[in-house]
Amino acid sequence: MPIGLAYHAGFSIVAALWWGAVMSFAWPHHLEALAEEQEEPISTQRP
Amino acid sequence: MTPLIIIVCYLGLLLALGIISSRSFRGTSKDYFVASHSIGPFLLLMSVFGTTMTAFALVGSTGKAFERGIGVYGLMASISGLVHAAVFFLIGIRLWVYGKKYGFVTQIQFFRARFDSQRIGYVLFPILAMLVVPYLLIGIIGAGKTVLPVTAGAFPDLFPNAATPQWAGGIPVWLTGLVICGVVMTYVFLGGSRGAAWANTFQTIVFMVMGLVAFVFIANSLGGLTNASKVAIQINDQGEVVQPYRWDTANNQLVVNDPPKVVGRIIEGESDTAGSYSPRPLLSRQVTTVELENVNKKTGEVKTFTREYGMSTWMFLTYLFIPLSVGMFPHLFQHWLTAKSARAFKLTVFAHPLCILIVWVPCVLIGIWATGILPPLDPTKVSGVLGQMVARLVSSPILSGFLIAGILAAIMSSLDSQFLCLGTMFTNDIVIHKLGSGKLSDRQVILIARGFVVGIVTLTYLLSLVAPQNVFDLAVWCFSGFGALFPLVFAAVFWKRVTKAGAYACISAATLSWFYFFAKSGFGSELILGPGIMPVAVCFLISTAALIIVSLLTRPPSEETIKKFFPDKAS
Repeated sequence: MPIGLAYHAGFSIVAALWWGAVMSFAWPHHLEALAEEQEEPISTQRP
Repeated sequence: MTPLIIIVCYLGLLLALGIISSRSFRGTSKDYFVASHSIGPFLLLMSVFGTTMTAFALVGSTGKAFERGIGVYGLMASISGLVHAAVFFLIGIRLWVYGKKYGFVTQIQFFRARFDSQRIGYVLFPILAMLVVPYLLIGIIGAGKTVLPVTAGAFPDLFPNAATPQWAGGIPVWLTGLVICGVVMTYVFLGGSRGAAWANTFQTIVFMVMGLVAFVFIANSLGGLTNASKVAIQINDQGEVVQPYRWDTANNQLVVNDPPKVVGRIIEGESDTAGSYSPRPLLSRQVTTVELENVNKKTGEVKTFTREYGMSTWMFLTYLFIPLSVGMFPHLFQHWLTAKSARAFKLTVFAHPLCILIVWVPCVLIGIWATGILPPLDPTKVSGVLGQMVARLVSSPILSGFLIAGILAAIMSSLDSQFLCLGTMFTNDIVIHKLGSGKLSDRQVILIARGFVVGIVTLTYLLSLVAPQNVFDLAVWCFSGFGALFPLVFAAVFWKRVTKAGAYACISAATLSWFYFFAKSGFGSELILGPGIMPVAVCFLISTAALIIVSLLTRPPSEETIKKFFPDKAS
């Protein structure tokens, strides 16, 4: 494989690992908790 | 005829899958629009990946690598892998949470609630629809153009095709478009978003596997990966562009060109010292302009044209704004909302860059190898590079059939989501919003949504019959429009201070600046500004500036709105 393409393929792998690490360390638990609360549909109807 | 049989079988399988998925339909509008938030990690990954990848992932990536070299992977695939995953994590999860908590099924419902403005929906709806429809046309026309050449000769009496005699007897573009629209409409009509998610999963697996299969067959024909890597076009010490190998069609083998065949020469690019060049493959991102020659074998006529290999640093950097468009895709918003839980996003965020790698690396390599095997092709013919490589190096009608099925799979996995999303938006953001949901039963809502899906498919199909056939150039413009609107969604989920007036200013600035450049391009041609800047970068900066300045000058949103969309982390 050409070295330039191998570099970019490696970049894709690093991107996956990076986001995997970000999800491990910075998962939005507070938002997850919000989603588990009771649903409160907001009407976006015309008043 | 063999490829046609495989394509028909594939479409039949897809229809069967649509019918089976409809048996899981729970009969509620929430199930029809967002699958009752029941889609797990794997189906979410496949449906989101299938939706963001179009036929361009297979056909376009090979053609672009043939035209510009390996930089295409960095330009489109590396950046997309990083940015798409970022958007899914930073924006997708938040929108899923708000959608589940507050009952949104469309992007416009979210913006109406977030900016406390009913009118913003009427402003956004035509803009989003205007950007999605050309994207649909690209798919329908693309499918027709893919099937026509491989079925040439199958029905000479039925389809004589006087306009393009080389493809006489092939399935015409209008008929393929009709069949594709019919199949997609059937499974979307029956199964709604669950049907689309199931079909997308199946189709994504098909196009990923088919890309790999084509790669393995082509690499084997060229004598394995190591040997294949030597065949790409090169520059010799005199600045000439040469092909060191050729494909011997009679004996189906690769042979050395001795001396290497000259197909062009450098007219602008870096030489190592004044006027001298070190021999190297013409693959890198370094910008090199060459003049190429294409000899017509029948007439002997020599046609010359210039081609710029590589890409400038400005183009490379400003292309970053194109993948941001996924944050504003209304059809992707709907897919996000089908997720069973926030944790279902984890696999999508992690594996999306890897899926891009699996599809793009083989296709880019095939494109690079093709530079040494095929004659220099002018830009209008590069989309046929993958098909030509399969035809020359593999010459198997079965593989051709499967490859075409893979390309159709990539096209249809985007079409279904877009049709469903337009139907959902029409139903919820226009009809129900006007009438009031209390006046309609759930069954009536589904009926209206299905009616709109049929209407939109019919209208889009009819438009595809009269649309210019070079509509492919519009793809980057669609992405640019969505990319220019990205600051709106980003501010909506991260900036408490963004105001209704700021949102209107952002939408107006993005739309006007986009239209200015679109008109300047001659309504759809490629437009590069100055040293290689993509217009989307300028539109993005203008819309961001408008959003920030106007928001800071106007009254902040109410405390009630802030509390809804920015929950306290400690609570």
